[in-house]
Amino acid sequence: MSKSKNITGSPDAKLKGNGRLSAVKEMPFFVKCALFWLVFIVSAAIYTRLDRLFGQALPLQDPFYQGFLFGGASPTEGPSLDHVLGTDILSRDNLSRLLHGAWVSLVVAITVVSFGIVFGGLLGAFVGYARGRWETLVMGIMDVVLAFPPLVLLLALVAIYKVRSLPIIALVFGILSIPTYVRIARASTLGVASREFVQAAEAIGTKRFWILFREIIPNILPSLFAYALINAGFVIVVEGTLSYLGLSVQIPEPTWGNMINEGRRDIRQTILPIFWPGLFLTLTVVSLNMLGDWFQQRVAIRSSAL
Amino acid sequence: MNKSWLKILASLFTIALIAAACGGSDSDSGSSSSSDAASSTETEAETEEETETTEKAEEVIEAGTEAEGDVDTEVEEIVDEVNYGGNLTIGLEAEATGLRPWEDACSSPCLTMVLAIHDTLVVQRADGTIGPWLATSWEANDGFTEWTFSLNEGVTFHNGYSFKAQTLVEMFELQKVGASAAGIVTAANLQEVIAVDDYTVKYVLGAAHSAFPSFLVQTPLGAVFEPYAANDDFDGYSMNPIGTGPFTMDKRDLDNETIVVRNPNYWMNDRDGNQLPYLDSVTFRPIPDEGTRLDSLLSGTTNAMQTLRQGTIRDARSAKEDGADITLLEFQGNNVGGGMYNLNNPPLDDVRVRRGLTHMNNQDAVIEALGGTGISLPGTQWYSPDSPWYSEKVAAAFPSFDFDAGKALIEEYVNDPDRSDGRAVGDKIEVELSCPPDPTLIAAIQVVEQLWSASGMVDVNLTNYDQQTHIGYALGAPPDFQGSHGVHCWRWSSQNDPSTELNRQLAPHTLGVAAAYGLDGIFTPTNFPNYFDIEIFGWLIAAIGTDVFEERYALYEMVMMRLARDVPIYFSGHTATLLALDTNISGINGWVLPDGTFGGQGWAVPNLNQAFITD
Amino acid sequence: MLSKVIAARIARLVATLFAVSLLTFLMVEQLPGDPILAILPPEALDDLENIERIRSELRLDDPVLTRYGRWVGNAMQGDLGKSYITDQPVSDAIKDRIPVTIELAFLATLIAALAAIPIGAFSAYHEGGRFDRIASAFTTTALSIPAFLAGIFFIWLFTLKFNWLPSSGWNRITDKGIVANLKTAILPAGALSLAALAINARLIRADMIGTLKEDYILSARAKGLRSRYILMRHALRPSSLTAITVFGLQFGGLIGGTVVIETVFALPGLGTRLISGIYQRDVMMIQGITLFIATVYVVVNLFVDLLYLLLDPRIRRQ
Repeated sequence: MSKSKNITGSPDAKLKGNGRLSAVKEMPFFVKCALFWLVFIVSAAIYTRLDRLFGQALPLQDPFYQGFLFGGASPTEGPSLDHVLGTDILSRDNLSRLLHGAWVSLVVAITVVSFGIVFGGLLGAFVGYARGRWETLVMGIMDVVLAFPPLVLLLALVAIYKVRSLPIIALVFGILSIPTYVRIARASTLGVASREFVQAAEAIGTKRFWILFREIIPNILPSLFAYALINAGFVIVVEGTLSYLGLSVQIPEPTWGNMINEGRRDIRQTILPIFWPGLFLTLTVVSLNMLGDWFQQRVAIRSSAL
Repeated sequence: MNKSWLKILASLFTIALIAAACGGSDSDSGSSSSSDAASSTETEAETEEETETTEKAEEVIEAGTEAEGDVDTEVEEIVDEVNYGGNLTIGLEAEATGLRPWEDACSSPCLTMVLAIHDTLVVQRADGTIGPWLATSWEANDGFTEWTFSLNEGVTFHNGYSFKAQTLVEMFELQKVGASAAGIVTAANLQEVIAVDDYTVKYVLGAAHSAFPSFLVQTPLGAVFEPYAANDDFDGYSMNPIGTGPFTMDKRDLDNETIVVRNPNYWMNDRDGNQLPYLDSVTFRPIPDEGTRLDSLLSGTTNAMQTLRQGTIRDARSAKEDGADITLLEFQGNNVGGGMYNLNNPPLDDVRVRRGLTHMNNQDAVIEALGGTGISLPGTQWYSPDSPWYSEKVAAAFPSFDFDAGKALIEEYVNDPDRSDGRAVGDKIEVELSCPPDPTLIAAIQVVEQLWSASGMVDVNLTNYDQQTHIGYALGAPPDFQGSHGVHCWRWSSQNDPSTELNRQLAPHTLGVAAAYGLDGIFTPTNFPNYFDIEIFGWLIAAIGTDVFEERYALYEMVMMRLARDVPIYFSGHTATLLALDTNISGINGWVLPDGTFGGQGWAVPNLNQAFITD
Repeated sequence: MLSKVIAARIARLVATLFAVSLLTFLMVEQLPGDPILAILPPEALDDLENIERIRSELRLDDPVLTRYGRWVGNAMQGDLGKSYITDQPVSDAIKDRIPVTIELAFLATLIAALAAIPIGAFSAYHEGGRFDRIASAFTTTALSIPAFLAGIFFIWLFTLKFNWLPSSGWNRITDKGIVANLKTAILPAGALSLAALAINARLIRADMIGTLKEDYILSARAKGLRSRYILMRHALRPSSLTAITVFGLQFGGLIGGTVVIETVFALPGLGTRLISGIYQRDVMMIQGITLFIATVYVVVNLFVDLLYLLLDPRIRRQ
């Protein structure tokens, strides 16, 4: 940032030297909690997939089983030993549905983040470094996409695809998330490109292509990652909203949003069917935000220390 | 490090606040199961209250037919001294698409508004019979092809024009091409409307129809609108409708509120000669959220509401049990929820599959999932137990819940070497089950899906499309209209005469089918299951060639028996409807016709023309 | 120089809007289902001649680009067509609905701004202190709660539990006055404002921490001026530039963001009309409202940019 510092080496060498574990150790306690919650959600989501893979052999209730049809649990039961968090309006186990619901949020979030970083990041770095006509064109397209009310775009795209399977939903989300990543990647690239180590590399006559991949991209990645964490939280909220409107993944597949939707009917009797998915949704997003904030601070401290 | 404990504390506090707030709600969750009390207790209680306050109870009128199920929807009302003045604010389920009777598709909330402003030529009583309204009397020729109506004299529109026979002739020009009326004109085979003199009008049909006045009960053809105003401003009529009805449009703020005020020149008087209507004004508020609509009534923001949702009826009942001052007018079966099997789509072309799937549909569980235990009745046929067309024989013949019987039928199909879906013997059948994303339907199809899957013989693909797409898939595309659906949620029936719906929905589904039976040119896109039975069609035609109720009943019973055998369509539960009112509102179901006979509440739409508010 | 920048920006805005309109049109074109089936009730469909008559009346048979050209040409003259289903002009529908949406977005922006300034300022003033930490936990939570969930929670708390406020419906200022209006507006606006509030509070805090270290603030502190006075008179002013930009952008974003909240509270705003348009396959309504929302968004963005240009001396000088 400041030109007075005379560093010619790429600063990402410093980042690489940091061990993963020491990063966790440096975390404040609260951020550790956030990380713990996220690890819990991710393992829960994976656990539920394994459970399905093994034909529900693992210890967890069937998220689709409606006990009241077969003489089991009754609808909207309170917590019990069998159903730790009670049952929903169709007498299905709330806990199991919550954990299965985590999978949808997780897949959507991961897809969006990967799409954003890979496609958005590459595109943004490319146009930010190449400048010129490409930049004008690409940024113009991104402006157009950003000008659409996002929910409208999602509603329409979801309506166009007849089958609302998880891969399609995730794909739609992924594509729509690219523009913001392009903007961020481009902005960071503009900053990095004027730095001494890039100019030095150019002076030596390194090919621009290599500069892009060796100098620029490694240096914009931390800010992209920091944004990705926060963006993941945002995307989980949007998916929840769409689910709530009944427009995300096809029922009976549980998602946090459609659980809230289904629970709303009986809100006069009990708020618990809304409370649990609401809590999971909020805690997950809080955790992602906190982790993102913490990561952003670290990135900021690093780059200012250069 | 020590910074973070405060953060945790603050967050925990937030969560604890939420959790603490949640705790209080558990107590009343149990009361929902005890809602077996039939609605008669409510109406009885209401009657008692009214008797106490009434000085001279003139007359007790009983109406409504005996319900056969465990839900009794008897209607009683006392007509006593009336009060003028006051405003009624009704919470409706939705905003009307538009208020042009001949043009806009209209469901209960819309009809409530349309009928406050417009009158119909004739009206239907709760017992299904047709009575006079703007028309004083009518008769048909021997072949039921010409219907002559005598009209009330001295009726004026809100804009001062007089209502005469010529009005109906002018209206017909718009109705012939009206998006909403054209279908009914075709169904009735209405060819011409002739003004015989100023107050006599003749409807000429292309073929016999003994129940023709039933079409005039329906607003698209029957609601009398001012044709000149409609022609002057075709699009704007919705915002400023002009009829002869008890109320005139005052303010129409779309999706927010519509206010109508007393028509001082209304033509109708009550039986004591008092000018109608009694109310100063009526405000219609579209409140789509079910819970909110009920809350608005309970908190006094509105003083009436309507609903077709069992869960809301349950909540309204429990609110009343908890002491809320409301009157509940329940009615069973504006229509019946269920679905259809697309016979063009194997394996649904095989009756064993259709019967098997129907047998596995646990209607009571579906109703329970909708929160409607003790509120809705399981459906077995086109008409509800409240309807004069209901048949016990059909109820017994319908393949009602019998899981093992259903499974056996599917098993038979699955092991049939000649199975129609071309799969290997022993393979599961695959069906698509689709419903619009309505909260109650979403609960219902998940129950059905679970039951079918539990047989181990059926792979179910659930889908939900929005209403319009849902209808689109069932319709298919012009010119043949062969839907691409599988098992499709649908609502059947209405309070209208059977002929008005069945004759079209069971007509040949393609021109080819029609030609094969020598019925050239007779075809309908609304035969959604693509099911045609020439015998049924014959019975339906026979039923509109006679006006003897017993003969017609017997014919429709035969039609229903055939449907119960072939199950192209299935029924889950009758739609319970509720009008909830503040206890000081009367006259909603106690209205009388101009000839002094009793009307009663036969559907979800309140008749506001004789409603009044006591102090 | 400045006028050249502005002219370039406006040219770009027009190009963006054209692209948006074309995309909207093509997107709606892809929606499944024949629009004619949405216009006519199923019962009216056995009259095939009638179907073709209406189709040609609405000129649905023309090629896509012809129809697009016609639509965009009319749109530039302020005519967005009329709904195929209700025959209501789309511009009328927007006119009816936009006050609700604008008021919601405005109130939400206002709440977010007004609540964020003291929270952000005091957090900065007591950086690392108890207030700062509580505020930080609050903003993290507020940022993370989805608006629809907050809306449902508000309904449950303020309507079902306390019965203080109505949970749906809308009292127009022009009919019922400001108090009745606010009663219906405050819950949805509150739910809508949470995320923006959190972002604002954080921005203001970060900005103020920098400002508070400036010499003139330190000297004011040394003079013993009251902290509230210092905060409001000296420290806030330099931060207002960032704030204005952010508030402006938020307002533009919130116009599109009210969709869900309007649905939760059943408000007669633009968002609910758009959603019902999508459900009813009301082609003209979807196209018109989407284009309108996109226009508002880019225009607001342009104004924010221009304001920034005018206010920030460094940029002006360049």
